[in-house]
Amino acid sequence: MTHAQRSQRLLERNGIVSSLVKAPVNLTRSGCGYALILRRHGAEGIRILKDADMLSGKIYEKNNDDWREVASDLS
Amino acid sequence: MIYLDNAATSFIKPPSVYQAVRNALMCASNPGRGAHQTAMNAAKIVYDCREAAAELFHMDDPSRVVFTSNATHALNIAIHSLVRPDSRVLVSGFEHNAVMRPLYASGCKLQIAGRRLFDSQAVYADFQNKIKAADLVVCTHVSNVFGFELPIDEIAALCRTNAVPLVIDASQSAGLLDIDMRRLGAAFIAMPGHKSLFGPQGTGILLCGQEGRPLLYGGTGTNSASPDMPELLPERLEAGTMNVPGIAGLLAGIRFVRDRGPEIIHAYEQNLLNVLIDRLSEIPRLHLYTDPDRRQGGILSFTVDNTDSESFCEALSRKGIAVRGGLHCAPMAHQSAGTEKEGTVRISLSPFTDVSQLEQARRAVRELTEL
Repeated sequence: MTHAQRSQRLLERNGIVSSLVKAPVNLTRSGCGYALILRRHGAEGIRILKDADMLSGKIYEKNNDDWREVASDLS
Repeated sequence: MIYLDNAATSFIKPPSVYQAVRNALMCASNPGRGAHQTAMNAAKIVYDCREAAAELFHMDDPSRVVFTSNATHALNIAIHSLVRPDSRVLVSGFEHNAVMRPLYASGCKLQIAGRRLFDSQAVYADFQNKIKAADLVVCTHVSNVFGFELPIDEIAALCRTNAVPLVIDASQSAGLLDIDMRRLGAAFIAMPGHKSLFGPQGTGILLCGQEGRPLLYGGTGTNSASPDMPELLPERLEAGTMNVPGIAGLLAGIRFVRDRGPEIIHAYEQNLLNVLIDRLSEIPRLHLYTDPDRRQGGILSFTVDNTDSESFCEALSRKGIAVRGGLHCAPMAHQSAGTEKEGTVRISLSPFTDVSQLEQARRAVRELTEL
């Protein structure tokens, strides 16, 4: 969770708002994890995290309760 | 009661600390265990505290700030991470039992460097002579008995040069002296939250310069399907439910220290201590343990001729003065100073101490020595 919080703070400092949520169990590889949801500025947020070497896990597109994987093995 | 036992625990806290503990009890539950509002409130408090500690101790990554229940817990994790039965460990002559007992329990080979009280040069020279035969150095920053400030920057540089990991016990310095993790390059720095960081009892911090080995195993709220502890810090070293009200208080305490400035607090206590030393020096039968340069923060130990320190402290307590006698859980420090037989009376100050309180303490000490 701390990693997600740290990423969220970095995005905040760059003016990007995100929501910290519990990830669906079927999406986490070892059970219980957190996800950051960016409703806007997704590409910019990903770039910021990547530049800071803080991008890990997977990226999904979320539509209501549907999570569609769009990138993986980011760490 | 006049409280002068701040080296044990800072009993008087900034008002914001009491308020933060109360607020946390009313609005924060369990961090990392859910996404509902009270869990997220708790998670925010914990992360804010990690960030505040990382900033105060010059660390880039808040996830390397691990919360513990006290400095002893933090030191046990550090020692458990680095020491094996065949390790050769070099310690100063002023270590607390929080360092010595886990080292003894590990079965490692112990060597002591630097036993001359208030002689930083001699301490450094002894470390220099012995470091080649060491796999690890564990060193207190400031003696909890005498306030003696060990030359930690120089010892850290020696460790870096010789590629020997360093564990620092910052129990008496955190919140008062500049502790720069980047500059020191220590493997671990351990500290309590309840002394000069003004958090409640039951809080501590381990700053991790390297990966640690878990001392406790259990739930972390993440990676739950795995039988192993998570690989990532801080969760790797934080099994079980956290002391969120305590951490909330610690956050308020750290902000108090940050806003006032550790160097300002330290200078205030040092000035008070100078006043105290000058006034107690006039009392016959007292022997004060003082640094010639008066670099001993807010801690002063003294002995009274032919008087047991515990009995003297009990008598002071009856007069409303709270100080601590005996060996202060640091028998080796007393052996180094030659005070192991009777112990010492220790007065320790805080930013909430004032001169009028010191004057009342002086009067009480004087009256007791005249009996």
